[in-house]
Amino acid sequence: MLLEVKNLTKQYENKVVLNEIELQINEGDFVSIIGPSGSGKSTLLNILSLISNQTSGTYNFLGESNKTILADYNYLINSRKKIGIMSNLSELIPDLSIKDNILLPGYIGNCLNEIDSVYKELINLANIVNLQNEKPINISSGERQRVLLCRALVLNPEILIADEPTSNLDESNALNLIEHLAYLNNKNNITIIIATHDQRIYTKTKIIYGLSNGKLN
Amino acid sequence: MRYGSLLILNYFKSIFDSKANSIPAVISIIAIAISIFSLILVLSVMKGFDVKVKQKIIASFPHIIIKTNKEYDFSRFNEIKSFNKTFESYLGIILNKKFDIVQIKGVKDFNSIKKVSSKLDLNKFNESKDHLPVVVGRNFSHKYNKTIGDKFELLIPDFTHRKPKIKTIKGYIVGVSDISDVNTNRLYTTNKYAKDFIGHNTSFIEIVLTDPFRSKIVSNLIIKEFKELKFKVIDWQSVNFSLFNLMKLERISLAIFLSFLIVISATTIYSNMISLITQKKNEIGTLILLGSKKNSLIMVFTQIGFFVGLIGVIIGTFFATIVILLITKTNIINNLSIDLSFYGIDGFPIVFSATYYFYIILFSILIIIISSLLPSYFLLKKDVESLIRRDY
Ligand SMILES: Nc1ncnc2c1ncn2[C@@H]1O[C@H](COP(=O)(O)OP(=O)(O)OP(=O)(O)O)[C@@H](O)[C@H]1O
Ligand SMILES: [Mg+2]
Repeated sequence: MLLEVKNLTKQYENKVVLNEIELQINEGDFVSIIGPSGSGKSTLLNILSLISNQTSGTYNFLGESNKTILADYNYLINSRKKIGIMSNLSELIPDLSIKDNILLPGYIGNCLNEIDSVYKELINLANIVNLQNEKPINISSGERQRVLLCRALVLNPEILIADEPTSNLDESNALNLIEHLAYLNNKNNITIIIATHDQRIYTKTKIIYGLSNGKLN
Repeated sequence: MRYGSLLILNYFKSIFDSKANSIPAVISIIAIAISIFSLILVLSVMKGFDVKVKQKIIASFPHIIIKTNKEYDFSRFNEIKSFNKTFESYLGIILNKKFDIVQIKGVKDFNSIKKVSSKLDLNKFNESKDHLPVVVGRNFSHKYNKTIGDKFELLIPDFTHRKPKIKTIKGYIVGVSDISDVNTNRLYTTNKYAKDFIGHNTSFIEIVLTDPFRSKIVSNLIIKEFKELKFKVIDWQSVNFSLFNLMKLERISLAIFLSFLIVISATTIYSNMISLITQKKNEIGTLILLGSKKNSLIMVFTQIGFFVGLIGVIIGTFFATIVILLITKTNIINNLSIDLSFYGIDGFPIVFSATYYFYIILFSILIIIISSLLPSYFLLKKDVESLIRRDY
């Protein structure tokens, strides 16, 4: 079991967003979490991606409690390398080229050489080879979404967590992207968790969870 | 390229790419440059003034004075360049039917004046029993229109009787020296003539040193050798102690005051960094999510602020150095016909002091580092969740 959530509650001040949630994710799963706006999808994904902490309950990431991981900064950074995070809150650095933006995790981790082949494969797959030297301001939102996806995958993570990966995308772009994700899931056996309220998208995933009133089912 | 340098370059560029960031940055640079420039220049001038005043004092006055009527031989002290027994007294003089006060100063013999005034011509000097021979300075000669051979009357207060009397003696000029004396109204005569014509006087020994700045040490050596002189030896540094202290105090207070300028201009860096970091908040959050260490990001933003400040420091130092070199190495002040004779010092008072440069640059760099470090430190103390959240 990759990720295991037990009896997890998250509240902001007096507002309970996630209420005693149970969730298990295994290797190779392709999971979508759906629910109306404000239902707590991003909140859940932030906890799963080791960005924020729960109020109570347990979350085990690869067998280790997230509290332990979050308390140890180096451990946290190493664990996050195993997760590719793609969210609409992620930024591209405006003054860096698309190529450098995608390679940023490699710059940061000082492992540019090792990821070179992965990078080439990813940009081919995402069909953004000709955008490499562009600046982020010059690309469309569909392209931006694909660039973000490439960046999330460039370190070859075991898990991809994507928050609304198809927001701002038109139908064909959205379907392309989800197909792309399905391909990665099939071929590389990468575990994917996405949050969305886009029906065209979640029907393509293997497992669908609905989130409402703080409960997952 | 390493990731740190990549980011530094990127954000550094982004400062100068947008007007919103570049104008405040340029203002910071100018403000820092101006503060550094004025701090270096003002302190160099103050220090230069101090040096010139000391030079003037060293050149015009004896370095150690010993109040005694006895004879001493200091020739065995090899730090003592020369020593002369002398006295000083004030007399009335009547010249061109006008009354004036003059100082009369004793020398060993007239030839000793020749050491400092090579043009002094004593060939026509012949001794006279009823006239006191004196040497006057060039300025005296001009002022009263008197020259060699001219005679005058001197009025000497005589306190030897219960009722003070005024004694009148006659004097004549035997030579005109070209010493540029501090005191125009000063006459020189020999100690021997003075005793014969004027009578008993408190005399003292004037000592000139090879290294005037060792006057305190030499004074102590003299006292050690001649215990009876304990309270009679005084050196030029002690005499002028309060003046030198005052100049030092003035320098220190100006330095403190001008340091505030640096602090204030550095705070503009602080606010620039705050606004840059706030703009880039979400990017910073993303970088952290992608694995950046907070400390390395703090380093990145500190270095960006530091570079901006450093440009200011370099510009300010550069121009200050240029100005100091222009003044010291060229004749620019004279060419601008700025009249400094009023201050009684030769040349514009400015010195190039490496120590000042060192402390001023060190201080400003420290302030700049602090004001670049704090903004990123405060922001990055926040948790990642709030860094990536958008504040609409
Ligand atoms: N930092 C926070 N402080 C207080 N309340 C918060 C915070 N973050 C989220 N919330 C609240 O938690 C609830 C769930 O937010 P969340 O962003 O998880 O919803 P979501 O399901 O992702 O919605 P959407 O589909 O619009 O993205 C919302 O009501 C929101 O107001
Ligand atoms: Mg959301």
